[in-house]
Amino acid sequence: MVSTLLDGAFAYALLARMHGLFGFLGLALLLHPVVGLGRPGRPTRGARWAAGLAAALISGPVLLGWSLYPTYRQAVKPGLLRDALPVALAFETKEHLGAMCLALALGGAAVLFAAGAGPVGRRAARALFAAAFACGLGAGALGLGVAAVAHPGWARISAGPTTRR
Amino acid sequence: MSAVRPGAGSGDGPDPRLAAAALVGALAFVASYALQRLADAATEPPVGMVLSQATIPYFWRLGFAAVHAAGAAVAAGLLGPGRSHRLLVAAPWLVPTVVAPAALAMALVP
Repeated sequence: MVSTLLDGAFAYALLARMHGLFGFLGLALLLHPVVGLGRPGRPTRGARWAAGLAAALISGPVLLGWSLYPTYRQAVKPGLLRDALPVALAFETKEHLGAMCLALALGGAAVLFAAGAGPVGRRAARALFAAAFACGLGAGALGLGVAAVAHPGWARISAGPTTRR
Repeated sequence: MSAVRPGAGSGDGPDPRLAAAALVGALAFVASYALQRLADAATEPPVGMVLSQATIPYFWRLGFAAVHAAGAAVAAGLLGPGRSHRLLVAAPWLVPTVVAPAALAMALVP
């Protein structure tokens, strides 16, 4: 059991699932400032903290994804490039959009905290959060599809079913 | 009656320059990342060859984009409050103008 837990493929698969689950959770939280900051009037203190929390929570899965990327590149990508090139390319697009999502979400939170009490700052922050949400949604949709294929067991699966004697 | 800063007449917090710096920094990151990727795509070897690189271009792009974002944010922070305010006013159309082409380019050139 211990050796199974320490197995690289198991750890990768577990962390990749956490990356996806928390990514979608963070994405759902990102929608809050997009909707909340669209309402007229000054954003409440709670709304500003919720926006900051959303930016913080989307950072976690993105950073987790970055920590997994070297393993993906070494253990998964070669097989994908050989057997499923569109999936490998979709993964790269997902990474690009994920990085943009993080930068825009952090920028939105920073704008909101620096100047968000008035309508100008609120609208600027909302534009950044909306762009972050759009990029995150694209990354999440691609990630969902890629995750069905991109894992260390891909090579074994793509080789076809094995017969047991 | 409190003193009103230029460009902060709508009650936009203590200093719009910080907000403008954050806005410009985020957009600079997106633009820099996309441009770097497009430049890489124009010069890199065929897909399979990329795996043999010792460094990970993705992390290098992120690092350079972060440096560019920090530089742009500092430059934007040096703008006066009036210009910073105008940048913030322009954000609702400036953000999609920068992000949409960059995201589309990343979809077309993975």
